[in-house]
Amino acid sequence: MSGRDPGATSTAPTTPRSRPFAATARDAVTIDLLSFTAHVVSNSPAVCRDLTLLYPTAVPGWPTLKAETLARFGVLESRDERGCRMVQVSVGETVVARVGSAAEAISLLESEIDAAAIRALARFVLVHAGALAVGSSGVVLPATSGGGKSTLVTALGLAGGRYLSDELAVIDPAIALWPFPKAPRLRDGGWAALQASFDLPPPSVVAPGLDGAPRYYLPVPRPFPGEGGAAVRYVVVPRRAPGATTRLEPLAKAHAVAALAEHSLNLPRHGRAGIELLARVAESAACYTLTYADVAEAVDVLLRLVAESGA
Amino acid sequence: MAISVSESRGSPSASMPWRAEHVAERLVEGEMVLYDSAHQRVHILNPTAAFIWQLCDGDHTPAAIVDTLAARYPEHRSAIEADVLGLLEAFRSAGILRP
Repeated sequence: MSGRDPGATSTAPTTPRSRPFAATARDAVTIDLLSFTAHVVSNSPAVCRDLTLLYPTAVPGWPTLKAETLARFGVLESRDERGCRMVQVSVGETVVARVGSAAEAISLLESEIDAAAIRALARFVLVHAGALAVGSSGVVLPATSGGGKSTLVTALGLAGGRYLSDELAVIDPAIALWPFPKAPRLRDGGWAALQASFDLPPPSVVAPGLDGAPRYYLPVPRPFPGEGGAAVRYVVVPRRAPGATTRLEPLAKAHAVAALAEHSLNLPRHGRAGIELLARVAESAACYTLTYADVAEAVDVLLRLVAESGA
Repeated sequence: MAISVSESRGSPSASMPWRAEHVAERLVEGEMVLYDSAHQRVHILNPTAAFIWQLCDGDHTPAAIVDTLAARYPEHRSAIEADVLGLLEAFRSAGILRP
């Protein structure tokens, strides 16, 4: 992710090579991610539309916090002197990339917005994890990229869980999980796996990831409502393994702390207080590893776990 | 359990292993979780290793650490010595002791 910091209002810098062929009206999209706000200016209706689908801040009931940090971004379409389409992405007043399509710009902008949000949400411990609530019980699923957590969290949302995030567990000092208001995003494999077992809605947006492979953004499935987040009651480390028998095994709490810490995105910022927080999360939660090959079976096992514990 | 904090006692000695300041520790159900913020790594110590870690306070030589453990199990002294020295070397290699 980029280490650039967003600055003041973004405007399209003009150079002899990138002067817009024709001026067009610009729209602005405001994205609220808890206490972080991204303000995006774009002359592309497609970009504005897709951003509101990727970051559906109008989801009823999702809690909001007072905005503390504002970052500005710009996505401007133009044509160069040869008439070739160009889309310029800027962070603050810095042009960070020029790409050939709005879809590529969306992927890049998503990365920049997420990175800025992670830097801004300093009072939370952030873990690269799926997060949802089953009833009032928060469930955290720490896993690396490509580990299947987006697929699993989306499936759990479709099966009755309340979606918080498919990639970022936001944990406050009271060890409650907050939503990261962003649409779940699936890769090809996850999309295919869910189509086989669930009644999937059509994707809101299909755009290439930074690796060029398609990403499917879905409508938010059953968002968790209410203020104050969901108390963490389960830490489940998912392990997707082709051909494996679905099994849920107890995980020693120290190992659950290690899993959370290893997947944390801002633990160095919190230092000792951060590891103390993660230890309290593990101590207050039931901790497991979940090995699975079939997503539908994994969903059944998890929902049964929560139901049988009376949460 | 409160997190223990390494106190500053002056210059460390190579013969007196001393926990690095950039390592946070937390006992979780009998196992010690170490978070190395300098390298962003996590280590988990079993109860015996955690006991040895606690003795890495800049006041105990490796021999003194062996003596402390062997006082409970004198018949296993040679094995204890090998384990303690091996563990201290592992701590050093992991960068969690002061140089």
